[in-house]
Amino acid sequence: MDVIKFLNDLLGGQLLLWKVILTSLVFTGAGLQVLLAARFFEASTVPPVSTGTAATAHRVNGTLTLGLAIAVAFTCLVGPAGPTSPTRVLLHSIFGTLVFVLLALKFAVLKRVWRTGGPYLPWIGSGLFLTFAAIWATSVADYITAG
Amino acid sequence: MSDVAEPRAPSLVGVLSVLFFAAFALAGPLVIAWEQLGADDAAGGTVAMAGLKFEPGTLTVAKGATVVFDNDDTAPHTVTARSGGTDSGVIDPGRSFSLVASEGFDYFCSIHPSMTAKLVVSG
Repeated sequence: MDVIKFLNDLLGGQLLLWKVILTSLVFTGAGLQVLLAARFFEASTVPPVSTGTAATAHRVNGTLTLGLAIAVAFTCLVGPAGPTSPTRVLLHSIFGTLVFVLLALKFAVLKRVWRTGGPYLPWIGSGLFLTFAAIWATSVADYITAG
Repeated sequence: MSDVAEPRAPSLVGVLSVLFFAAFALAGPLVIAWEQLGADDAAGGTVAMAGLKFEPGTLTVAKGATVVFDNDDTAPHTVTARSGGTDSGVIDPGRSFSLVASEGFDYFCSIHPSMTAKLVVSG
């Protein structure tokens, strides 16, 4: 079954545009995650909500963002993944891999598989945001500038 | 009886979620390796359409060689010669188009005209 063709037809031939939109939402969601985490770690007063609210919002936003990221990654893996040139495509593949390495580490800490990893969570979270930014820059930014 | 609580063991769901993300992390390199091994078998006469670009931008092949155009993109594309003649029609994502190279030509995608490339035939 040609999954990409099926999805492309399902979305009226606009799969690429939807990927651009969803990747931008993931990037935005990742940025919000950093802000919310900084708030409930009491490293910041922004956004102006309680630490409890920030923690709840972090969990909900994280779940939604992660769901979108997995959906986009799936359409990359079953479709265009494979070429290592031009350099932008290679970098996009590297960052796409790195983001799931970081997510595996994060969940290893959260789910107590990696018990001593707690102190690394802020670094892992920041790394996730920067990697999502790099993924956006090596895909959406190119799509926009290509006109 | 101890006053120190035993640390909770990770749940099965926790372990599975870590494995899920690790599998996604491995999938990318595995797909790339698979595609690259396949590309070697094609003996170089392959143009990939990805990220709204033809890659390579210029491909040189011997006269009579088979050139395969793989649409690795998420959008449909065409291989349309500027001088007329060769026109693949719409190549949907995941599909290919091939031709036997008899002469070189400049070509573009009629759906995304900014996508341009060149086929050079030597010999």
